[in-house]
Amino acid sequence: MLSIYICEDNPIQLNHYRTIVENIILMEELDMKIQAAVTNPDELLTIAKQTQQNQENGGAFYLLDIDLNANKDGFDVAQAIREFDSRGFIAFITTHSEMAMLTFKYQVEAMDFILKDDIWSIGTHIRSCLEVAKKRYITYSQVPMLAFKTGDQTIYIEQDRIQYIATSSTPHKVTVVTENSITEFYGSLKKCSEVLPQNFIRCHKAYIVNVNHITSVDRKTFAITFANNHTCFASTRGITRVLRAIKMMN
Amino acid sequence: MTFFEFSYLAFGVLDLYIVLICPILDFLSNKKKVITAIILVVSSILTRCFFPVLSTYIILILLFTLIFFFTGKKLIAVCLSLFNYLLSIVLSYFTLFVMEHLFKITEVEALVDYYIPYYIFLTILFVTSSYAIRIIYSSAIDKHLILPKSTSALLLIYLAICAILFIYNYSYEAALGFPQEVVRVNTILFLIFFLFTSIFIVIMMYILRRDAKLQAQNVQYESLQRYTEQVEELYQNIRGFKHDYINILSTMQLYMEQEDWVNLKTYFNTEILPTGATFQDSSQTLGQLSNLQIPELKSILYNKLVKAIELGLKVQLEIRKPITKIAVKNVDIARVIGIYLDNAIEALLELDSECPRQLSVALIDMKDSVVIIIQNNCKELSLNLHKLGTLSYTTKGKNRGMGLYLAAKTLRSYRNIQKETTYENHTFTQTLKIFNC
Repeated sequence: MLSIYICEDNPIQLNHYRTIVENIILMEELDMKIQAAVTNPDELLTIAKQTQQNQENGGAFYLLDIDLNANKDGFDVAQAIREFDSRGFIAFITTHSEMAMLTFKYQVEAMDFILKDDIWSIGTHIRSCLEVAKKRYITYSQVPMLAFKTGDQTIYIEQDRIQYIATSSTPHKVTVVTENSITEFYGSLKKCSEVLPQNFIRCHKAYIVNVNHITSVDRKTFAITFANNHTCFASTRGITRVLRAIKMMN
Repeated sequence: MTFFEFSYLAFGVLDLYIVLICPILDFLSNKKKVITAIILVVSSILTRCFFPVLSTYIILILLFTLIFFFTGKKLIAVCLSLFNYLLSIVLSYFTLFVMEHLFKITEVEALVDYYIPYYIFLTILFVTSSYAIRIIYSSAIDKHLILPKSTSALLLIYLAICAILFIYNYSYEAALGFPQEVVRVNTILFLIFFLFTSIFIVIMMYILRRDAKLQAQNVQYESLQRYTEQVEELYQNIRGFKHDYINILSTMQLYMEQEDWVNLKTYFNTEILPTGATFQDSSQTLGQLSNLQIPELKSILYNKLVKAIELGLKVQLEIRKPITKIAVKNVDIARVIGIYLDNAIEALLELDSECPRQLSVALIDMKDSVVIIIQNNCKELSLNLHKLGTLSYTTKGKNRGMGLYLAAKTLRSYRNIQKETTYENHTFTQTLKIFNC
């Protein structure tokens, strides 16, 4: 079940959103419940903290106004939420001029922004948010992740999406390659291979490959190719290990 | 061929390579270094056999032409090797001069009897001088200014004339059989001439650098001025809105007092709702630049974003909290961001005007780092993300792709930067996380 928390300083708007959400839950028969709909951010935080710390209460969906006319704004609230609930869904409801999409997505992993400016489409927008949250909540909890600590932030990458991991051109960094992203992290291949499952193989001093993603192996040039033409290389011993693993899988 | 002749030739070729090619090694790929070496050896042997008189001239002309084309027609590279060539002549004369005074060895003796220690000493000197010129060029000149073509051409002509005079003098002296008198005169002549040349070049570089600095300051000043104007315009906009706001309130009040709900509704829909659009204007977003207190970065962001707005792109800038410091050289980060923004704008312009053409930039101040995100829509990308930033890998056609290569090269020298590149659903995102040191 998903618990829903709403925070908006204007009581009329707060009521409006509450009615919208209640209607959607009723009509779509969603397994969700409004846990709190308040004007005071501190109140929301206390309730949410109490409820969400108990794992049995399921996930959470937060709908936050940004300009709250209080000691905190919606963004501060989101940051506070992230301290006790790293996987909850946060959507902001705000005016265009306050929106900072990239910032919020990056810092508190905001899932969406609902614009107050388009008065007429607020309802449909909230509905689609709830549906996405529901879908993701069901799959989310089972996907294995690879965690990287970078400074005071921890970034998670789905293990299944990783094509390969390489040492970076700058020391003490590794580069994680998926089909459509390349990301650098502080870390070592050794530490990665310790936590990764069997389908990841250290095929070279500088590479760990995910056998599930390999599209071709060239025995002459020792090149391993993935989707999107991403290529890495294996050592002589590494390539036999990779080929054996591929054989075992089939 | 006797052993003497052979070693004479070998030392000559080796020294020529050191003197001419070593100062410009940074310009040449490994393949080209080897090719020049082979051409040098072959041409030296051939010319010695067939045109012994003109051999020096032919080899020099051949090598300088090679350098010119191998470095991508860079005049400055030719200037560097020419300068080092002149320096090498002066150095060898100076060595002879010292030998004569300390050990009482004449030039003829040095060249015939003691030629091995003499040439070994010279080779060491040349390696040092080549290395020094390479370092001086890369640290003092290359980073700070781009020589205009006309200046480097003039410099080249000047150095070439010097070289011709030097060589002429030298061969004249050789024809006379190296009389001590002429050696002494030549040494003094070359030294003075060379000193003047060096002073002239140093002064020229100084003036050019000062000019470049002034010009950069001017550009920054101009963009600051444009920025101020924009801010003033924003302020005027808001003042106008404040004024309208009072009017709107009183009109609404009138309708309400008369309980004319139908007219109030139409008035709200036609007059009030559209005012929201004033605040969605792209230029409004630039006001956030006031939170950025790094002049170089501010000026480049301002210039590129204004350009994007003028080109009709939707621009969103997010700087929610003041940013005063980034743990990267300001010039470097400005250069990298400039390249990223140029690429983003170019990609957006390739889109049809019906597609959303949104450029978003965010600068986020975290506790331990500053994060810079640049995001743009783009066409379906079929390129290999991993190869972006390797030299001349590009979707833009021949002879392009320098930008991302330069950016990657600049970033590589920093250990405290984490880079992330993603492409998903027609959206391209570059993220730089710069940790505070």
